[in-house]
Amino acid sequence: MNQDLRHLARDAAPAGPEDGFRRLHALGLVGLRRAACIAETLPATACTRCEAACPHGCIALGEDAPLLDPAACSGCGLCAAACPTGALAVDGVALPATVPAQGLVLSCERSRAAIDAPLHRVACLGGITVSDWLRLALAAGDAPIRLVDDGACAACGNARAHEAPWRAPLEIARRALSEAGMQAEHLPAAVSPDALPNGNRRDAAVGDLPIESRRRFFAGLSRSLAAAVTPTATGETLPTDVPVARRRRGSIAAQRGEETRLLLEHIARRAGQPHPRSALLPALTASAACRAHGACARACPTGALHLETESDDGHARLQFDAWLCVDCGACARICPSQALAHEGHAWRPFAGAPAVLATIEQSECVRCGALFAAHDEEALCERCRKTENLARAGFALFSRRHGETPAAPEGP
Amino acid sequence: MAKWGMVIDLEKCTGCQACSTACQMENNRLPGENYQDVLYYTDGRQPTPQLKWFPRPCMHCEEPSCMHVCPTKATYKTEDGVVLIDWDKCIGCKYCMIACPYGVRFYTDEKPLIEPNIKQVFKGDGDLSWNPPYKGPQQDPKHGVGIQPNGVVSKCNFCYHKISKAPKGTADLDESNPELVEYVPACVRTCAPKARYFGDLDNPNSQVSRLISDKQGTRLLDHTGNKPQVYYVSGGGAASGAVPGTRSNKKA
Repeated sequence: MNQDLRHLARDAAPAGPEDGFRRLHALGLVGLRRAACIAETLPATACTRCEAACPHGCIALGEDAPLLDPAACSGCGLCAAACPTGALAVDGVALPATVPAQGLVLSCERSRAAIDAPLHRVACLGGITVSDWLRLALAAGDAPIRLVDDGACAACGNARAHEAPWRAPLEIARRALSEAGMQAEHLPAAVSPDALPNGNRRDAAVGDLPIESRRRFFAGLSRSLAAAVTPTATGETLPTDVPVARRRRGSIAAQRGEETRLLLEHIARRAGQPHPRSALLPALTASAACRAHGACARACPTGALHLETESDDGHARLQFDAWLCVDCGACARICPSQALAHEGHAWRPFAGAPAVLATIEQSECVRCGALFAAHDEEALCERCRKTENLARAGFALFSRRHGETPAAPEGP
Repeated sequence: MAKWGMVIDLEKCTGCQACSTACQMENNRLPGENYQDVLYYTDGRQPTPQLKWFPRPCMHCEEPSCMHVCPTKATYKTEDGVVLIDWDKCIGCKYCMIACPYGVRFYTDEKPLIEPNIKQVFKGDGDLSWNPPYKGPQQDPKHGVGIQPNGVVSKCNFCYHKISKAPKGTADLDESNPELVEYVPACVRTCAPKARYFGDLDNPNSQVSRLISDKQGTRLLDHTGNKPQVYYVSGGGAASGAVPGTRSNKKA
């Protein structure tokens, strides 16, 4: 496989000191890349996906100092998997970069199923994201990727509503891969231990290792191994006095989206398709109320939105790249004309190039010369209009007090 | 804690723009990028046209609409009533500029106001937008003070680097008081006709409070509910009040 491809996606992330992961707590297993966290940089957006994904309620990010309760954290990595911008990393859920020719078998480290095959154990199978699955599938080629489903996951403390936490991302990855033309027999699959060599299953798999001792184990592990656990999380504690680096347009790398697109395109080409038929993407629509303020584009944490103001025909165009969108809703919330509506992820036809959401005619302000989107053929831009209204209001106020009828001011 | 506010006497203001220039120098801005300006308009027609003006600093509203719309909470109100931008948090989305009814927020990165681009001649270190040959020693991005970094919105900060050092309990920052003159905002200190007053609005004995009550201080665009902390007065009270008051009276 193709190391280059992975690096291509990773390189979308900006370099710099703020790019590194820092531990949320000296004893915790979770590292945060603060500049990539939407809750840290756009507090008004109130992204709480990690909080919602955490089965033990031990993580909270946001305006106040980010919090992690290391005693409650089981190190499952569900928070990192839920983070749309890849701002979190958890020790112990690292996946192999290459897949051996006989295939890869992934297993929960708590599973007691005896299997006579090279096993890769992770803290929780739910910590494997869709893009992780795609990357493994690409690395594997025709070798099988299997996940050991010993039937205990749905009853585990990490599970929600008696559904194994790995099931949803795996299903999405399987559908995405088949849309990209991968044969059904090559898709990553969950298999029971009986289907694997020497596999057997013990019903008491989860009960054998109480969660309390797991926590102590991980706390101890974290303490003793400090930075050596994975290369992604350094041993440092997150300093709260360091400012969140100023975020420019698109400086939070929408790693997952970009990477997913590259991976799917590559897999599709290998299967002889020009591109995947469809993909799980969010959608955004702009109504006619759009006035090309551009606040959405500048607030978009991943650079999925872009306002093109300088075109040959004098029109402003709002462009949207669904692959970069993490569906945080910041654009719809910030739009001064409330022109944007976003819809969540759904299987939509594959889009290679960014879509143009709105085309807005611009005219030149007769006073300051700035380009602006005119309603009803106004001559002045919003700023000059504001100045004039203010002057009129001010003079009217003082003139009226003196018993005069206010005279309309003329231009300077 | 004081609640800093300003009173501008429109009858005294001569429209000389010394405040704008002082603001520009104090805050390391280029000409035309000053945080406050003096609006001027011709009113009436020949043969009796009048030139009218009024200064427009940031109103430092009690309910700032710019603060409420900020997606990163970069704009905030300090305990002493000043509206500031944290340049470390600002992402330059400019929603505050749309929300501000007074038009006193600035984004200057897009195109230079004068050619050649002076900011390119004096290039800034690191993230700073430029490195002016003259500059104040203060640099405090958390309070939006000093040389502006690239890609952020900037605004009048009531010279926060000065007023925040004033002794506690000061009622008025009066430029004629030698002990307080260093704490007076640049526009107030430089105003030749002494049309500006700066002080604590919460203190009933401060000169600003007395001026507001004696001369019926007025806030602009009060219907927006922003409740500015900059008040305008004109003339001696109810008997006068047009802009500029004296000339208007003579005519009548």
